[in-house]
Amino acid sequence: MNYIGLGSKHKSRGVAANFIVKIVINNQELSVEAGSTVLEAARAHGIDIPHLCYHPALTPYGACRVCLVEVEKNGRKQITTSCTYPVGEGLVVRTNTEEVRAARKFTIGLLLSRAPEAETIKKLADEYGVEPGLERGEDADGCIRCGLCIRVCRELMGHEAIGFINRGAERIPETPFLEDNPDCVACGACAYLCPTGYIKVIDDTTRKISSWHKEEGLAECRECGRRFAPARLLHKVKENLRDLEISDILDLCPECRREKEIKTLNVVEDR
Amino acid sequence: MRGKSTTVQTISVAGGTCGMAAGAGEVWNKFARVLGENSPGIRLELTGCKGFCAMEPVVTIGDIFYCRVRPSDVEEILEKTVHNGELLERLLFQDDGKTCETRREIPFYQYQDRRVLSLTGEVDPVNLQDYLTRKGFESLKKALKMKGEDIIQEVKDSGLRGRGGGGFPTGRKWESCRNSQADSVRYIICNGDEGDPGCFQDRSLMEGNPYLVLEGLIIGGYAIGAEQGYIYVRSEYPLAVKNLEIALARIRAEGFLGRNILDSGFDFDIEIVRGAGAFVCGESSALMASIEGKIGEPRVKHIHATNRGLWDKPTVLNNVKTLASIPLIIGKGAAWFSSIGTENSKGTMIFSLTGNIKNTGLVEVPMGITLRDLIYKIGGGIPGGKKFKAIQTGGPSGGCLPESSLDLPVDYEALLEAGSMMGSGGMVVMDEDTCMVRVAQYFLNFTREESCGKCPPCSEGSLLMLKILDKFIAGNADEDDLDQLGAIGRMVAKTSLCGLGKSAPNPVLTTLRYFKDEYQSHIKGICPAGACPGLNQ
Repeated sequence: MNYIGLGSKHKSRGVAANFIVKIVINNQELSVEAGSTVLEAARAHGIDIPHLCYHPALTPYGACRVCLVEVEKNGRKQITTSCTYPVGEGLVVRTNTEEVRAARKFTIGLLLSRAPEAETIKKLADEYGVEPGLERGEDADGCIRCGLCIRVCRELMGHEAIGFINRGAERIPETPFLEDNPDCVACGACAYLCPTGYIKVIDDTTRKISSWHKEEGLAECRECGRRFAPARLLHKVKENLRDLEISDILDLCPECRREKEIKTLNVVEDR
Repeated sequence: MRGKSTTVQTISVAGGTCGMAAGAGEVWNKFARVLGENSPGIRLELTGCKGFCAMEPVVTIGDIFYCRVRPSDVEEILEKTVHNGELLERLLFQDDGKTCETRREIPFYQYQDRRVLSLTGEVDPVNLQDYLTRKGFESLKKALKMKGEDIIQEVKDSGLRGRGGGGFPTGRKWESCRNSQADSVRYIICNGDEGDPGCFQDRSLMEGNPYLVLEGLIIGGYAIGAEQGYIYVRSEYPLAVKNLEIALARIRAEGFLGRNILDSGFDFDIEIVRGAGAFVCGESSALMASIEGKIGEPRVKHIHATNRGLWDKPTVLNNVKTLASIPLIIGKGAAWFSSIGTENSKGTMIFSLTGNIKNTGLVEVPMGITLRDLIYKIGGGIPGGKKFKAIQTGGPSGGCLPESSLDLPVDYEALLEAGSMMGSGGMVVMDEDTCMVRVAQYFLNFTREESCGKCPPCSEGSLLMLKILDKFIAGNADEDDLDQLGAIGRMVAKTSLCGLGKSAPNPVLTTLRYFKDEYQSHIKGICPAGACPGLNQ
């Protein structure tokens, strides 16, 4: 079980990760960790590959098709997603050929037609000189179906409050029966990872996440009385961290928590 | 036991889903009612599909083959044919004015080599005794005395390749699973999620001879060292599910399945998993996700299922026809199996012949037969004196081949080279009245509806292509659209995640390759087939 804040990095590949293999990325010979993916290896060496559905804490998904690269193994070349392709001795990778860029341009265009207003997608589209693949107008809902929200909810929060419904172009992340799901504690991790801003969290006296038909009560800070976190989320965090004897700071809003920490430090220094 | 020479005559009614839809149930009921409880010397049997769809409901009495039988024919058949040995000419198959007195004379059967299908349509599908008297489970007995490696060697020697589409050598797949992750649990899965429009070979096999499929699955499990097998069948195949369920219960009771099979020390069981009707669940990784209880969507497969498949354990996934070939290979030997076929495609292949063709049905032919022989000798050609235009092979992921491809031998490589594929064995024949732009639209629309939506090239790319195809059909397209269509199709093939998306543009790309002139006519406002309303012919 993964606890909030203590989520262990998901190891999706069952290869022992203690040895090193040599691969070539863009004519550069690199020593990389066996068991990692091409994208992870490239990132570890500062080689930039654009990506949208990848997150280091989550299982690779391979859905957005933006991190496409050319891999060559045993003389066979193919265009594939670097976030899912495992490294292996002698693998040759090219991240920026004309063919790779053309393929990315195509998929970015398709994503742009889904989320024409999203800054991340617009930036990529500018970089690759892309027009929207399909003019959707008002039908563009702003979601690119990258599944980060669903994966973070399932893999790190341990909740599975949301999932994809429908298929094909009608696929969309949703709650069961399109209604408020009590399993969702409105933690907002989904919105935090959403690359397009499709999921919006609005905090007032309550927290509202309209994508999930959610309205959750916010707990008040013990010191200042400000509403700062969903009450049920806080309860869950306390449950999970009860062995750490820090529950007295969990009722405080981030600001009061900081002040309390400073006071504690001052007391220590005064001594 | 056939003909009048024996004391017991068997009246056999083809009762596959196809026959039932054509009224075989009513015919069988009428026979049962008229014959009553006591009818010495007559055995009434409801079999699986006999393959000749165009002639359903089919009734056979020994070698006599009656077509399109109605309940009103039943009394006369009993009186004249069964009791007096007279033929009813109106029910016999007529081929260009020639009457075929026996099944052997019917061209549809004459050129076939029914090996895997030899019992389908000949026996009561769930009658275990019928299967056993025809050497059923002899291959399993033989296999259980062999080592797993030796069985795999035999399958490798046979040259059997996956009959579900990919054509991967079955023996090699088994071997890599057996050798993967020592001491791990292993699984073997039979893929019965046949979903291509116009395809029904797997259904007919599961309905008509479930024991053969199960025997192949058990032998496969033993060879790779699995203790659990699965059959994934789509829920739209209720008769297949029912017959498999009955068959499983019966062989479990007789010790062919379960603990210590036939005292060999081998434990193996099989579970039926029913698919909920998503085409993409026929794709191996989506199928496994579905068995695991997850959403049936494909995963990226840089690691083979034989290494990490179902529940991350080494897994073999084989098509129904592949597994149904296994008892034959073990029973009759690799040499017998590989004695027919082409250099790289051995044995027979089962095809569903459908579309604008006289003899629609299920045929089993040696690999390497030409498309022309398949269409004209077995299929009887195009009805209504129309001209042949195209044949679509490999289902919605396959391609449309023109007249000039008709002398191609049917084998994996030849079809791939031509831009199509073997696929699961669908063959849709189209005549001159078919508009190829609309054909591309039909198949693309099918994959669009069945796309899981995980990756945009498939779900969005198919929408893009459909939009352009709509322009052609409405007569609003220009040369630029022609280039665009091909460019998008190639991109979708290149950037999609799974096999469904990668092959989705095939109907578009092959029609562009072989029927470009037809697209160009549409640009000029002409539909040569006269199928697009609003365009000239």
